[in-house]
Amino acid sequence: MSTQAADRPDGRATESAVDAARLMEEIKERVRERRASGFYSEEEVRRITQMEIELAESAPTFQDELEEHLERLNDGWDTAAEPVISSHRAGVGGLIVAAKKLLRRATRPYITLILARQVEFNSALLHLLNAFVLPVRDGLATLTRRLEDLSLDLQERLTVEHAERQRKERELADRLGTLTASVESLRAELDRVRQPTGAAGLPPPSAVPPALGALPAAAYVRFEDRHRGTREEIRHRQREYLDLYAGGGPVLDVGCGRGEFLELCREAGIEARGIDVDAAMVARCREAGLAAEQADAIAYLDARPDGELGGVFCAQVIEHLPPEALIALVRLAYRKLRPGGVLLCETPNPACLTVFSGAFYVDLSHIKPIHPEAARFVLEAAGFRDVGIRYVNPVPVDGKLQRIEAFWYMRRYEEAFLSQINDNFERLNQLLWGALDYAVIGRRP
Amino acid sequence: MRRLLRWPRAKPAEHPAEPRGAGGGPRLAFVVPRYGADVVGGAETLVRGLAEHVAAEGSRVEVLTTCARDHLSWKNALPAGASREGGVVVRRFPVQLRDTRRHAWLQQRILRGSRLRPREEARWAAESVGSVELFDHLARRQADYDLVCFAPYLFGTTLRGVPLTPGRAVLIPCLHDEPFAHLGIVRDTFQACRGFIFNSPPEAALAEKLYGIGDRPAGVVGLGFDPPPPADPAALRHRYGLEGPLLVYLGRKETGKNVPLLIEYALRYRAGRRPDLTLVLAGDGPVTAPPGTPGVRDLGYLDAAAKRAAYAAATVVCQPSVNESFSIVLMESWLAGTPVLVNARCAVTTHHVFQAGGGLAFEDFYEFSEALDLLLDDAERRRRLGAQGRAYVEAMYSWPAVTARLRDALERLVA
Repeated sequence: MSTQAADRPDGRATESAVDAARLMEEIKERVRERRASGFYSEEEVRRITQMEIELAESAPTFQDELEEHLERLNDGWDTAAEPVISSHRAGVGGLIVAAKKLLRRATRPYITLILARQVEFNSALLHLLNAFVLPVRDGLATLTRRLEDLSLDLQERLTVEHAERQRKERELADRLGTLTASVESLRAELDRVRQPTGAAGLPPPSAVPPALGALPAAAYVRFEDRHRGTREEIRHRQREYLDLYAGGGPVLDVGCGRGEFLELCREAGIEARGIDVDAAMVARCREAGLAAEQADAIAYLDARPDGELGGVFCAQVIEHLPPEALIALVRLAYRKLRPGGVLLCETPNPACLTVFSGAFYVDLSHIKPIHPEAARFVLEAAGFRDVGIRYVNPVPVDGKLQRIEAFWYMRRYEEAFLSQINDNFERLNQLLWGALDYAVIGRRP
Repeated sequence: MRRLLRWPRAKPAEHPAEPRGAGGGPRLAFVVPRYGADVVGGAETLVRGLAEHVAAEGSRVEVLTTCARDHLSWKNALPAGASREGGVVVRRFPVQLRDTRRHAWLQQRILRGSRLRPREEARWAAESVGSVELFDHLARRQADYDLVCFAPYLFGTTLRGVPLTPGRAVLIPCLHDEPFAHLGIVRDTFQACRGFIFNSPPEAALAEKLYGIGDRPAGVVGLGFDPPPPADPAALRHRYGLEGPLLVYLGRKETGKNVPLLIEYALRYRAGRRPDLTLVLAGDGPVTAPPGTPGVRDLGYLDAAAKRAAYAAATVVCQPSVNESFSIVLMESWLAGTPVLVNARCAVTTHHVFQAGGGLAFEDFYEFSEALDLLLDDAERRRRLGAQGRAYVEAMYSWPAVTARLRDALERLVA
């Protein structure tokens, strides 16, 4: 900065100069001494320290302004009060004042007439204002404080809820993503399953030597032990069917396996016997004292006299059969049942897609899943009446997609969104995790 | 309303530049909110003194101002148009309509220390005193002037005028540290100026601290004083019945000048030590002691002769204000040979006092008391301090000294 400072003048007074700076030192020293000697009393020191604070101008608040305006109104409400007449002119001033006073006296009655009403009005208005403003002023301060508190509160709550909602939305998006992926994989699997097997391009199964393509005899028993479920579970499930055969035997259990149903029949006093292609299974049944023999179902049934049987029970068998064999089995069963006899075929439920990621393909000997409607058709075509489908072995609730409940603070569009999601869940639940098995049941008329 | 908000933009000059004034100095325009022989105010007095002395040296000088005479109502009291006063061409423009309530409200918020938004600051400046015609003149005719000097910094004439005269604007800020000095719009104004003329080195230092003057040209000039005609202190004492030692305050009596502080201090000092001391207040303003307070006399407004008499009659002149950029009171007091007592928290007055050796400074009531003791007890010391003060004014603030500094500053500002 190129300032040209006003420096100390050179031609200073030369007569024994008084040094102001030295005097200031003297003053400060004297203040120190006097304070040390207690010359200034405690009281005085306090007063002096406070003095500056009191003198500092305080900023007028809104409340002060209100009061100030009110004060001015209270001072000036009486418009009838007469102002002092004066004149600043010397000499003629006296005359002017006298003339003005005369004029005022002459006009007073008329002016008072009008002013009296004005004063009355002013007075009433001012009373109202006085009664109104002071409480309002205090109320205003309280309200302002309260409003500030509330707004802070609200802000905080909104922040929390916003975070919570975002978290939920992320969760939903994750679950949807997983679902989409699993549906995709299921669809791919379905497509693969639908590929025509044994058609033109592929060598017929008979090209494989039978001895090579067969599993060891005992293997299926072990397999069933591992995958079908424990005896107790099976008994529990099959007990549901028992009442269908209450009309009496004899009941033929086609594919009796480990003999759970035969056992149930024996316990219920229903005559029953079983056949199975697996010698090891049959041996097991016999060990348990059950009537069972190794036989091919078609051949066995064909050899029975017509109308001999009270019921045919056929659990987890028809999926092992090619379609023609299935149709043949059903027709034979119809022929061998007496009127009122019941045919029941239980099989994995292909309308439940999760079956294909587990139960169905886990068993190498399964040939073709049979749709409930196909089964119904086959039974009806064979002459059965009152054909019904009973869905059994449902996927436990905790294995399914869970409904998401609406929250109280959700907006309407969010609720609609949620209900759509839940509907979708429901559809997926039915498609993916419905009943694992079904039984088609028909009665010979 | 539209007239109120109109804001002329800087335009290229419509008139070809005229040659320099007869004396060869730069063609100058001073822009002040008020101007005239009967206009009271520090910055106004300063500008009038500078303008008239530069004009007397032969420079072409114009003063651009409003028709207002007082700074409270800003009523258009003087006729609009050009006139020649003391060798200076004065162009007066009518004060434009203002939203005084809005202005007062914003001003109050500034003084309370609230931070204003830029839009509010601009509104505050727009509602300060201004004149559309004056701004229009600045925008159109600025090429007629080599330099346009604005004073003081605080008014609409400066805040709105400076942006209209880029490259020509010189600021005579009369700056002191107050809430207004910290506004963004004030900083912008300082930054838009070509150069500065300060009243004192501490003022220049403050401007450098607040806004960064950098290497832009700046001069410290101040106000000049002629040797005063003789005064008659005895007549004043007689007229007002004043006896004993007098502690005198001259100037506007307002809180901003720390007058309440002075009254409190003086009364306490008087009660404790010198019952014969009288505090004499002279000047306009709202602050005073309750009427009849023993030891305080309020003389009200004094004319020039009575003022000189009051300076001469004073035992000590006190200037308690911390808001000073120059302090005419100090110089006038010293010219009358009277020592001064100033507030140590004001950089400008203490600068003068210790440069001159013309008085003492106080930081608190204790120092105030001790300093008064030293001054009141020793007439010879007072006389010497007063004489030193007078010598300082004669050396530094005689008109020849001031005009020489101003000429030098203007040369550097034009270069």
